[in-house]
This record gives sequence, C-alpha cells and structure tokens, in this order.
Amino acid sequence: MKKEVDKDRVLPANLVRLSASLNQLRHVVTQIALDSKLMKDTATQNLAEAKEYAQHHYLASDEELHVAHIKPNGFIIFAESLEPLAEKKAPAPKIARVYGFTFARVVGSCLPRRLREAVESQHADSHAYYLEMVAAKDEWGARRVAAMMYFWILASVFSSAVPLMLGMFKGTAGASKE
Amino acid sequence: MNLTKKEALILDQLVRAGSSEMYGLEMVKASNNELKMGTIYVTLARLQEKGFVESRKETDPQQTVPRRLYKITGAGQRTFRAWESAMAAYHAQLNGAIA
Repeated sequence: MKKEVDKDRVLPANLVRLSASLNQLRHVVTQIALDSKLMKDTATQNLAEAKEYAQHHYLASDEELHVAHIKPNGFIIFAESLEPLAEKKAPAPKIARVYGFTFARVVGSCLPRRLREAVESQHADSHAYYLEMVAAKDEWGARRVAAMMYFWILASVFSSAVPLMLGMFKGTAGASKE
Repeated sequence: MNLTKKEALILDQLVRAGSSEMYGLEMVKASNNELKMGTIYVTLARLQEKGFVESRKETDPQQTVPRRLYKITGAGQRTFRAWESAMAAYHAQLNGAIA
C-alpha cells in the first residue's frame, strides 16, 4: 500500500533546512575570505620590509625586487622568512642577491674535486668582499666586485687548466719516448 | 722543495699568522697586490695537494656562503724555512759575485 505524502507540509520544511545550510555555508565562506585577507596583508607587509632591507643593504634594483617573490632563482630567502607568515613576531625576512652563485656551481661541477673546492672558496671570498663593500656603502665598489667575481672565477679555472694541460703534454712526450 | 714565488708569498703569510687560520681574501689584502684574487685559490689548492697547508670550511652561521680557512702544516713550515735560507744564501752569493 503506497503511503500518501503531504506535499504542502514537506516542501516548507525542506526549504527551511536548505536556508539554514546556505547560511552556514555563507558563514564559512566569509570566515575563509577574512583569514586569507589577513594572511595576504601580513605577507605583503613582510615582503615590503624585505624589499626595503634588500634595497638598503644589498643595493638590489627595483626590477630585481619586482621579480623577487615570483622568481626566487638567484635570490636567497633566508630561513626566517619561511616562518609562518601569520605570526607577526617572526623577524623580517632578508633577501640577499648572491652574485655568481649559480655560475660558480655550474663551472665547479665541470672540474675535479680539488679545483671545485678552489672555485667555491674563491666565490665565497668574493661574496664576502662584496658584502664588505656594501657595508661600507661603497656602491660602485660593490658593483665592481659583483662584476669582477665572474672574471675571477674564470681566471681560477684557466690558471688551474694550464698546468693540467702542460702535464698532459708532458705525459704524452714521455709515453712516446718509451 | 720547489716553491714558486706566489707559493712562497702565501706560505710566508701563513707562517706569520702562526697557529691562526687565514682565508684567501685576507692574504690578498695583506700582500699589497702581489697576490691576485684570480690565482690565489688555485695556488692554495696546489699547496694543499703538496701537504704544505690544510683547510676547512667555515662554520659561522652568519656567513651566507661559507668560506674556506687555511692553516700551514709542519711540513709547510719546514719547507718555507729551508726555501728562505736557500734564497738568502743564493742572494748572498750573487751579491758577492757582483761586488
């Protein structure tokens, strides 16, 4: 026997339930939007501080800073910047441009271990020299060191390659005599 | 005991530093432009291979890129002293021949 359903009673009850669910959903969506806005504000503030710091201490240009947050290649974002952004207690993140880092790595990877260490230590000292110039607020000195860094790395590679090549020639000469 | 001029300059600075360690840039600055940034590290690597200097990576967390610190070994000190006395004798002989 089929049960009769009173449509006039069921429909309003469903509508009430649906309206309550919609209200709940609206509340959740509003909360999410507020949370994301708060996160965005904090992140923007941290990035602004980081940019100001990088401009002041590392002479970073506007173009470099513009791409800093979307293209981290070549920029080192220090560990403290990876702290939760929502916490305002965390120290301001620092962005430092390490000139020649990738170049030294790529060049070093083509060399034997002993020479790779030489290139790496050469780059580390050059970077320390660059930071000294920046700390002394010698802008042109810093720019000169940043540009010369690539030349010094190449000079290291060539000055290490010459004795190697000479050794190879000597080895060939010795072998042919025998 | 075959030392080049640059190798001798580096060993001289490390002998003067005594037991303390030096990094490459420090040696370049102290040498009055006799040592160059482009060649000193290869020379240091060669000296390390010969066993005259030893090195270690800096562990200072403040440094963005860790530097390498160099220190002279006993063999390096003995070799440098011998080279120094040999050069002094050579110059004395040369001066005697000219005079």
